[in-house]
Amino acid sequence: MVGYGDQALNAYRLMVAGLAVVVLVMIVGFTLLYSALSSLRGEVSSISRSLEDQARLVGELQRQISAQAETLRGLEELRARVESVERALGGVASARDLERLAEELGRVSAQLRILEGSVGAVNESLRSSLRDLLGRVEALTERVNVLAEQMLFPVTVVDGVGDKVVILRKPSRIVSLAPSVTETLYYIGALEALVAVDPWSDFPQSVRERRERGELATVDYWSPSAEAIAALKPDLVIGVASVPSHRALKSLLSQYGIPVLLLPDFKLSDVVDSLLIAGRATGRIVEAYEAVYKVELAIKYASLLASKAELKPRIAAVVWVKPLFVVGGGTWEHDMLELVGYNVYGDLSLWPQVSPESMLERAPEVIVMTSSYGMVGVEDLVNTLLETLGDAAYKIPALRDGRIYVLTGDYENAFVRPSPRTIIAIYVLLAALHPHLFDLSPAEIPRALSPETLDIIRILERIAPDPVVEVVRKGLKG
Amino acid sequence: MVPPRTIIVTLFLLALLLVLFTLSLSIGAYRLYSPLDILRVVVGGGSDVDLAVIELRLWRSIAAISVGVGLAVSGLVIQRLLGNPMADPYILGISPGAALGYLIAVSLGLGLPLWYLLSFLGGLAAYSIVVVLASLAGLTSLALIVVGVSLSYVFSSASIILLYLLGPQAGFALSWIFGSVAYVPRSSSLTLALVVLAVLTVVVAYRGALTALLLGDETAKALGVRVELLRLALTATIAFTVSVITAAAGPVGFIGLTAPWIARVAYGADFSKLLLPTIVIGATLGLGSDVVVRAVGGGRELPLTAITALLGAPVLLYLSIRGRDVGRL
Repeated sequence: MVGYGDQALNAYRLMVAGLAVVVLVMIVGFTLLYSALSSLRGEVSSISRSLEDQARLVGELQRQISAQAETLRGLEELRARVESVERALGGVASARDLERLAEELGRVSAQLRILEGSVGAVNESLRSSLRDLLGRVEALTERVNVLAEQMLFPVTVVDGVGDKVVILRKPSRIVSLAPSVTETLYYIGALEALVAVDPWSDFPQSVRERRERGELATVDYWSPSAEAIAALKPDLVIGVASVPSHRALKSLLSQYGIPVLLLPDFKLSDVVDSLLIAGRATGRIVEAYEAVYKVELAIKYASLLASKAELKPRIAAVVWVKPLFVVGGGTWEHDMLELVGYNVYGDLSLWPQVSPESMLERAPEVIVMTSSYGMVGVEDLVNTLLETLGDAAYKIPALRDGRIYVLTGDYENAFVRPSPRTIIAIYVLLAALHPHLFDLSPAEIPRALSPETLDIIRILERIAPDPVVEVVRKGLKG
Repeated sequence: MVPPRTIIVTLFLLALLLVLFTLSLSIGAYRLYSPLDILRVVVGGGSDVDLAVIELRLWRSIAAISVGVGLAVSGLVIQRLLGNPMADPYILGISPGAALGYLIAVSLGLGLPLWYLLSFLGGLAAYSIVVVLASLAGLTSLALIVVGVSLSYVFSSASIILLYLLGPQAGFALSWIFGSVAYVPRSSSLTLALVVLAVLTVVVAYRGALTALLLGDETAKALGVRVELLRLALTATIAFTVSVITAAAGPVGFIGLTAPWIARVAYGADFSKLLLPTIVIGATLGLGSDVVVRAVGGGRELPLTAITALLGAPVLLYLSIRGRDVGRL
């Protein structure tokens, strides 16, 4: 039976060997197949990737084309509006007609400049037709202003305290009594006519230089002398509604026949009203409407950004450290704080003096302070709070979390002066309080906020529309 | 024999001070606590009162009491030294001098710590100038008053000019000049209390000489009091005290004038009998004014000087009209 057994064993061995061969073949086959497949897959994926790229390119192109089409459409629409202004200019019969025309022209001009920024260098024909339109708008502005000089004057302007101020001719000798007034005039391009400013008017650079060269006289801010102003023979004096002596000047200077105009300075919206009042009084209505369009756009965009933030932080804004003065309701600063968060002292009016203990009750999550022209810093405020409150100071969330920011330099000026430059302060506060909205990390926000430490122009250029960047740049690089 | 009226008035004043002290711990911007809760904290019972808040109010109350006592005693001594019932501790030019120092620091753009150093130095410097000029005229009380008042106006003028140069910030800087104990650091509260204790010791040591001054310079000299030296030493002590108070809390008006007067109308003119009531009345006026400031501000912080006269003057008027014996010092 052995032979049979051997045979069986051999057959078994054969089977195993055969199976081994089959398995080997299968492994080799699978490997070959797999490598072939994977190389294929790589090819497929690379093909699909390039397809995706192409699709993206196509999409980009389509977007560019549609953007260009939109630009073109916008351009056509603006061209139609320019032409209608040109047509209407012949038939202007009243000052009211002229102002309506100026408003339209200001808007068209602002929108054209916005288009100019978005077109870029790509499309030469678009650019040239844009330039052509802008040239026509400039010529129109010139004509409207000439007409305004003839038709508007003598003009009656209702100023910030509700008085009707009569200005006989287009002013050529203007006295500005406050930095916010000088800055407002700068935004409507009326600085040429300045003959004197207050000691705090330090923007734009040209004003500072003209003062240093002696081309601009200086009059006091708190108590401007009527006699010194009269001696300058101005045909318009512009002050602010909140300074009592500026009001007193009205009746004094009317004896010399010099009109005094007070710009409103209580709310953020007064910035816009001031532009229009100053524009009407100086005969630069197109420029005023153009500036208003851009400023309003910048404020609207800031609200839009702020609405994306999930939380509205509780803010206290300290304007003087010892005694403690904070920003209360009824001020432009309050409106700015409410735009980016919530003002914990909003129920008190103007700039109330408060106790350190009240900080415990109001529990601000963020404290924004002004440096009083570099006199005090964050550590002074922290020390003051710690020295008076002791350990209780750490009940204040802003102190506990170290969220205290100090505005200095131009950012402080932008915060404390109610001019179109307040836009800068709004965006600086937005960036400091909501860095994620600007793709910034909280670590990138310094405690001392000034143009040297936080480049708001560069930050805005990344995300904001051109006109917003332009308003901010105009307020910093004057 | 102490008249029963005096005992009643004294007990009333002490009770009032105690009530005010309890109120001063319970009233503040953070939260109102019931005075019962405060008492429970004092006796050691548990309650939901936040001890950190009570502590900060305690420091503020210490500052208010120190300011009140310091100014009241300084006023008493000055009125006695100068033999003039209308004198107050600021007659030596310290308040306008301190204000000028403070405004110089602010308008030069110096940092926060220097505001307080310069206001302290300003007060002392003003006093030194007054004393040097007055000593040219023999350091009589009249000379001190005339020089002090004239120079006060000079310093005030300089302050007003500086304020105008400050521009838009002037309003904030000006508020310091009305005084407040809300911003006194804890360490300064302690310093204030110690300085006031020290000046009390000095005054108690000189009480005999000060009583003798009531008889006139010549009689006092005959009694062996070195009048000029006394005047110099005590005015210097007062100037130092008031400068410390002013640097910490700003110039607080009226307490230095009123407290000694109320004391005198109620207790008579004997200096050694007047000292203790003046201290208690000063503490009551200082603390009482601050309690009112905390209660009526409605979220705002009122300056102390806005209240001191409002509280002190009616009491003084009532006592004067009822007593009819204010004429004699």
